[in-house]
Amino acid sequence: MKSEKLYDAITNISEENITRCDNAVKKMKKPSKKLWISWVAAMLVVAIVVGVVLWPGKDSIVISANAIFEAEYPDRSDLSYRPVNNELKECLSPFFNDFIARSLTGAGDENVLVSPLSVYMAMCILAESTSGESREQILDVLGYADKEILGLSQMELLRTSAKTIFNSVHNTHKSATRLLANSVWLDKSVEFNSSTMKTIADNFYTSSFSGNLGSDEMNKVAQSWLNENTKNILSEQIKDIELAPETLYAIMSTVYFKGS
Amino acid sequence: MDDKQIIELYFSRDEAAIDETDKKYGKLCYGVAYNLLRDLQDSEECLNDTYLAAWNKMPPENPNALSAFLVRIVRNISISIFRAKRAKKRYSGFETLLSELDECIPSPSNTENEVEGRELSRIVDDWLQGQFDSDCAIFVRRYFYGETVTKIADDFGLTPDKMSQRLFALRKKLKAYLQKEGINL
Repeated sequence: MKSEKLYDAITNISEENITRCDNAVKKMKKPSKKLWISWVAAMLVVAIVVGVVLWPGKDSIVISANAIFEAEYPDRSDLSYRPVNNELKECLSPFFNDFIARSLTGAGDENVLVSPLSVYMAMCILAESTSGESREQILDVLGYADKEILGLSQMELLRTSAKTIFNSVHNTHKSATRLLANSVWLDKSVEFNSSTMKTIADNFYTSSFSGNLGSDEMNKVAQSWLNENTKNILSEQIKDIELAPETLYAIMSTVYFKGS
Repeated sequence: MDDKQIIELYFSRDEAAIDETDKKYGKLCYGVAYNLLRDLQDSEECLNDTYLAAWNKMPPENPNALSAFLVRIVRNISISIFRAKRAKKRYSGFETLLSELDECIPSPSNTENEVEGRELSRIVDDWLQGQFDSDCAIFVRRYFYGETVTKIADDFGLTPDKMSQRLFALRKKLKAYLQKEGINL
């Protein structure tokens, strides 16, 4: 029987994959580390209960999550052009040009839909969340390596340009609504630096949440966040978005556009 | 006792090796046999045969991971029991597992070559390498250790239905991968 042949093949899979499985199991059984929060952060952290989640057409589900910081999005509704500094434009162009070119090629006959802006914001958030070589590599990809513009350090430049780009796009005007939203999701076992979360909230308009990532409960909170920021127009697709249980840190970025 | 010390006992032909193996891995081995055979007597028989096989294999074999080495023996002996007795007996664990694995078998086409055991293991290994750690763990626990869907779901904090869906998606992915590799079983 063919399935028996596959059974025999699985019997002889490598120790490496068996060890990966065993490690994943050990990790799940590991007691959660206590979250470290400084007393300053403790005042800022708002433990919220997302009581009745907006679940169109479904029964109300009561679920809970910890919001570490909630981003305050600019309320801008005038359609005037917001110029972006030329030096910043030149600095950012290589990343966007290269990213778009790479994204639109190599997909064969399939259509490609990608938001370079979301990828850029996610990478900025990732740069802010990392340090050392990882951060350097991200800055290099984004085109900030060895750049001295406007007398700012690389990280200051990253924050300034992300903020500038966000503000040049985000607009609540009803004839051309463009809403950007970002969030980071931390597993409850992860210790985090609250000042980093605040920097991310202030500079990248990013809310942060903590909970048991990969659980049904947290998946629903994340799906709810995505639905809320895309005005429920992608609810069919979003209902299938789930974080893997071993996820420690996730970044979500949405872009909503409505023109008339 | 750590694995290295237990293996040393086998190499020095000390029968305490069996007791130490039973102490450390008896439950695991019996669990795998029972998951597959769902029969207390056959699982006991499988466990005893596993210890005998381990005694005969070490030396010369010197496994890196004793648990994986023992589970492989359990799986081989379990399927031998299943093959020998299936005409007379029903083995619900095996039947369920094999029917699930049936879903991973790609449809044959003229361009494919029949693949042999070792090569198929390598291909499944490669596919597993490309999966998330959690998906790799779910697949290995279900199809290597033969654990029940309910137990795996419980450990992952999911409902059994959700876990079944995830396993179904994994089987579909494996089938697509085997198809892409031009595998004929």
